[in-house]
Amino acid sequence: MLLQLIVNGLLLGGIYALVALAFSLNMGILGVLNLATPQIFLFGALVGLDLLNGQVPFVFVLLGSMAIGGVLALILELVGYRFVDKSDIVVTLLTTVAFGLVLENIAERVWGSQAQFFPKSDLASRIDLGPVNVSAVQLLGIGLAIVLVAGLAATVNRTALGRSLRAVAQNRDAAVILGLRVRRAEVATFLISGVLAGGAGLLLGLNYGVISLDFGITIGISGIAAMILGGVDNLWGAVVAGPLLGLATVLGTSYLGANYNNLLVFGLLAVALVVRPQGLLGKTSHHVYRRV
Amino acid sequence: MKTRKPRQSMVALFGVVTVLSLVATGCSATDATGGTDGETVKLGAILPITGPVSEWGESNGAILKMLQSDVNADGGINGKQLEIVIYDSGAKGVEAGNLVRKLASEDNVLAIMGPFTSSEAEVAFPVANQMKIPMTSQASSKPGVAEANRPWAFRNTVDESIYLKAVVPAMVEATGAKDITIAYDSADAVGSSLGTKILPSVLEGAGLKVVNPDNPVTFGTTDIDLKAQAGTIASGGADAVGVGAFYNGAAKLLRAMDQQGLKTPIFGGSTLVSANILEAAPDIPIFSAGTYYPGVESAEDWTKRAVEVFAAEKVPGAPTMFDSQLYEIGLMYVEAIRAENLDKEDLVAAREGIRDFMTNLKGFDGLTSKISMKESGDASRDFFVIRGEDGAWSELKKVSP
Repeated sequence: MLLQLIVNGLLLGGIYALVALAFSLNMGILGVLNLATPQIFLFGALVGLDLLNGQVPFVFVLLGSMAIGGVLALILELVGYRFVDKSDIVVTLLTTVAFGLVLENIAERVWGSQAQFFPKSDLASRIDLGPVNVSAVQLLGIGLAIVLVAGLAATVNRTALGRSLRAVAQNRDAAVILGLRVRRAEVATFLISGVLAGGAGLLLGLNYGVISLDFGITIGISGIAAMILGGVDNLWGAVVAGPLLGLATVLGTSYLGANYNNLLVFGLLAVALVVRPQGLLGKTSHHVYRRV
Repeated sequence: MKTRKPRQSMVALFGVVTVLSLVATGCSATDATGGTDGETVKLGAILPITGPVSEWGESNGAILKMLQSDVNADGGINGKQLEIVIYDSGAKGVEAGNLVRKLASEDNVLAIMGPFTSSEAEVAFPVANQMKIPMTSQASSKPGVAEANRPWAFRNTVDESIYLKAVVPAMVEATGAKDITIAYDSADAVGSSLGTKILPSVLEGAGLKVVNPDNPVTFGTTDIDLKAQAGTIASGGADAVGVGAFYNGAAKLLRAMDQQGLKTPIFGGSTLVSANILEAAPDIPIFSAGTYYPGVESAEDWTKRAVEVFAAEKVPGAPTMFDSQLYEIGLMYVEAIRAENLDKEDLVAAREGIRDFMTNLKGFDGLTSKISMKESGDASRDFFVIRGEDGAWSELKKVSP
């Protein structure tokens, strides 16, 4: 039983890691805490559900969910980031909140407030691996998280786009002066984070067989917590912290009860930050600005 | 970039707030003697149109439109048109309390239908008593909520403990269950009450064994991962699961159980009855109770009309007992106003008249049963024990008080 719980927790954490990555990208590179990420996540799940109900092959369902996440993120970049005063972090925070609320309203009108159930799928069927069993979608989730992080790391470290992203993360104004393609970097950041959030939404819906509007807030808070715990300025931090938080969530629920879940998870986060304020893998350098 | 001096900003902000307050006050000002303005009779309603039980709130909204239309087509109330003012509480207690004040003092309605949940009623009913306006809930079923808020609070519902005392024997007869696991939503007042007090008490009275008396399975309303809870239920080996939760939380638990191959039947009170829960795991039987279900013979015509209204209003699913109970509340208020000519009285007298009518209610013709009001403020009426499976609810037996 304990082993199964650990496996479930780590696999839930894979989804947390994807959401945390989405937050980390915007926060680490642009200094924007994108609070519309939970709603983009929801849209990924809901659009994915519609595609599944329309008998679309799974690969295209996943691509569709990621695409809707990317499109929504690009719309947000246009209406809530490009033309606002970026020197004031409160302004960008508020624009993302407003965009998120608009998306939530649209979702409520289109899909309704009640839970939406995913059709039974082979991806959700259990695979016995010795003393534990997992579903294909759980394995897909963790695999996708690993692939995406590896892809992101390669992009950031080995491509011209990656150099632009790193330059903007260090100092946007200097990057502009040096003639780097800052606009492209900003748009790419939003796009990638939206794609991650949309894909994570579909994976969560498939994993649990259900999606509901209130999932967005829960996932959003867990994603932000994983981002902070891992270190805002380190993408790998989200990959480490996500599974840790997933583990804490599942074990806490099982052994202490649902009442103590938040206390345990966020209590541990608070303790971790007291001991290591920069996060598990974050930098201690005084050159790193506090974004929030 | 231009910057204002702080003092100028504060003055500007104060000015904006003042103007907005004046506009808001002006917009909501009504005749102090309101409630009836010569042409209309106003009733109020507080519904959870958004939020965790929005399925019920949306259908309730459509049913009230149907009620308004039915009453006005029948000549209105003593020649006046019925107008129902509806507000959305989002199933939040604080919001429900605020809306009672608004309906009572700004909209000047004669009486209020709602709120929906016991959590809301625990906040809103005391406000109704303060404002001296009759208020009747169509769904609150946590024991004692109306009783604690006499004389202005009423409920056209059956106490959950009464439902469960009928559901449990029917479930045992159908399944042969002996060992029971209790699972409940610890983040919700009704769920907690069901899980910690009502279910254990009813099960003990029925001579059934609870396999986890000191360690019930708990989950939160917004929890996503219920695999651990389903795993605990599986390892407990119970014959049935008593669930204390609204349909949305119970549905997630059902789906998690189904994903692990569990077919253990679940049972609970009226909080489970919805169309949405039937989609979660059609193979798992659900035992519950209510005062109405689609297909009940005595309300066939009403059901037909409600289904047409739902289609017109694009409300998914079928009518539920909360819709029928809400409609009945409306009929009670209308009857009170007609019979006592309360539309000709001032607001205070009209509200007292409706309160007294509800307090003394005996043998009122409801949609599926005669309804009387107990001293506690709860209705005394027939109800049905029902079973949900394969996407539909069916009747197991009818119970009379």
